[in-house]
Amino acid sequence: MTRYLLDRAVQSVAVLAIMSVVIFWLMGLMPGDLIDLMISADPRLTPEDAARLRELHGLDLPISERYLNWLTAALSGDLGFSRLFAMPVLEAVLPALGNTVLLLGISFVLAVAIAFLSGIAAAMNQHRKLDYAINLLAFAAISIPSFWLALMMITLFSVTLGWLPASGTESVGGGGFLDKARFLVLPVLTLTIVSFGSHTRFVRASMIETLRQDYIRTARAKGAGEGRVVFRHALRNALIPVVTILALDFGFLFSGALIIETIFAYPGMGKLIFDAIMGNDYNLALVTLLFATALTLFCNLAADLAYAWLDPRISYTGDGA
Amino acid sequence: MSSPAAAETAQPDILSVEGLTVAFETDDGPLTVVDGVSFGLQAGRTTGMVGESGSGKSVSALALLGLLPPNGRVAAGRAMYRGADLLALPADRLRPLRGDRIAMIFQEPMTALNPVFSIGDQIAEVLQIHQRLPRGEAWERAVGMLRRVGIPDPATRALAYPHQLSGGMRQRAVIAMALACGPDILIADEATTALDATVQAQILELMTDLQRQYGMAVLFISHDLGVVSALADDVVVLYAGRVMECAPASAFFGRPMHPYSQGMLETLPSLTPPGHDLPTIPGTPPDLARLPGGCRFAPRCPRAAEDCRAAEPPLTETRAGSRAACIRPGPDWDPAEDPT
Ligand SMILES: Nc1ncnc2c1ncn2[C@@H]1O[C@H](COP(=O)(O)OP(=O)(O)OP(=O)(O)O)[C@@H](O)[C@H]1O
Ligand code: SF4
Ligand SMILES: [Mg+2]
Repeated sequence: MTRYLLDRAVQSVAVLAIMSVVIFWLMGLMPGDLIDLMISADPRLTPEDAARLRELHGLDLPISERYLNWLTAALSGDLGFSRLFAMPVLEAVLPALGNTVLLLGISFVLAVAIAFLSGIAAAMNQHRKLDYAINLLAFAAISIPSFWLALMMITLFSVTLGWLPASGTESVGGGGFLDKARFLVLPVLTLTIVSFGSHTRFVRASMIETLRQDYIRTARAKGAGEGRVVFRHALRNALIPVVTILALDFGFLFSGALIIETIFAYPGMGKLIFDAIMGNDYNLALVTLLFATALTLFCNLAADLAYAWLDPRISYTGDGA
Repeated sequence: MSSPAAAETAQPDILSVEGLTVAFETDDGPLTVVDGVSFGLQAGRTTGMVGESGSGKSVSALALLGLLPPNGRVAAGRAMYRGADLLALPADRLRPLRGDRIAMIFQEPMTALNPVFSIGDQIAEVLQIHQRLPRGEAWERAVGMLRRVGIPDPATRALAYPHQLSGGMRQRAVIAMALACGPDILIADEATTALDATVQAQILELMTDLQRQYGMAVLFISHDLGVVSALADDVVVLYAGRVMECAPASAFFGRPMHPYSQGMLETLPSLTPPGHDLPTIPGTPPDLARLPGGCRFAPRCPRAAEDCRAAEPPLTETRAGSRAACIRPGPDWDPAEDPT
């Protein structure tokens, strides 16, 4: 198991390294660079000044060398300077990462909790009214575009009813825990609604499949009550495929967060990536994208661990037992 | 095996099934797949239930335990156990009997065990449910059960997951689970069919042994007439959901009375080596949705005549302790004497 973990960690780092190359290269393809921006900001800059500046920033080097320079600096802890925020990139990224983990984390837990409750209820009442109602709701949730829902939420709860703030993370001048929580409600609600639908469908399908298995009949033949049959015998088995799907779905949740953070002006990673790219802040864009990749890789790793813990047939020791 | 006829009169039924009828709701309307099945089980005796695939053996067994699939329901019948009708008991009174007083073993030992729990866990669970034993004590008893069913090094094996055991070991674990509470009745539905011949012989021996120790009544469902002849004290023959013959094993294998039984036994090369599936007799089982009028075996029966198609023949006594559903029962039938 330790061996497997180590392997997976090495793999994740490799993926991260490859992603850094790809992202670096893609950003190199973007028209214009830092100096072009300076020129457009200050027309008095002469071509000679520009050339000198390019040399100073190492921008005259071929892209491979630039990448190596960046990598060396990054590995020694220097992720560069964000032009947009006028601060070291890491200082801009860390609070945003915290905000996003909060938003994603709460929405994920809520969506999964709802998905389990409704998915199991639907599976246990297959082809009955409750099942149809839950299915309908799940389909509706899947079909709602997140930006539209976000706007509707704002219209209803912020503009019309005036119950909740529409953007930001806290009141001007800072607020306590409750104040911050109020700012989280709408983005969390939106993200939860757009993601619980597909989760519900997965849980329902997996649960129905599991309840058909022979060992469920064995559990009943043993005298196990319905609760024990469903929550002990079926649930653990039904979870196995769901965990994988939830991990794969994390990318979807993240892109959903990007849209939602932008609409709610919520200062998270999504909004930071968006701002960095729109603002041609290369250093920041590079690092935020890499952090996003790392977050996804981390979730996949966590899913693998959960998977191994749930299913004793999975063995990561290599001897098949 | 004691003299069946004598034993039968001496012993009251621990379970007495009368007129069990099960219908399934299908896309083409209700379908009766078990039709008025009656038989009795006695403590310390094994009743072999045989019949072609689809004849309703599993459905009958599941109905007794209230484990029919959602689209199935008991349409009629009684199953008396200690003064209570199993078929009429509310779910919350039937559930405590399952796995405690009446246990069932299913065909596929691989799929019958839950893959994510150790076998010790799964055996201990029965004791936790029914005897409310604390976990540690239940686990000890589970290990003891594994020892009783001949699993070597049971304390270690109890920790194993089903996929880590061979088919034979898994079936032993399933048997340990079924017998953990010392049931009065054990229903074994094709309990050895999935195993290879040597393992099958070992498991059969184990079951015979355990039955002797526990003194329970066994309903042994099988395709395999060889196995049934080796194990059963009584035989019930199902055909298309109906009992065709019901007799002590010695009488059944010696002189079967029903043409269907005779057909099966004639095509069986030898009864001694287990491992033969039910021999096929000419023709195919009827479509339950389009049963012929009268005797449902008539289309395949060499003795069939006009009067057979008039009404379904009831199960009637043909000799002491034996009953057959045929208007011309008997081993001594000669085609030349046939009235038709
Ligand atoms: N859920 C169901 N819905 C409709 N029909 C069913 C259902 N389950 C079983 N049947 C039908 O009931 C009949 C009896 O099935 P059963 O499983 O009892 O046969 P069996 O004698 O156990 O056969 P086998 O030897 O193959 O196990 C079959 O015709 C089968 O198609
Ligand atoms: S009743 Fe007639 S058709 Fe049916 S088994 Fe007897 S002889 Fe054959
Ligand atoms: Mg069957």
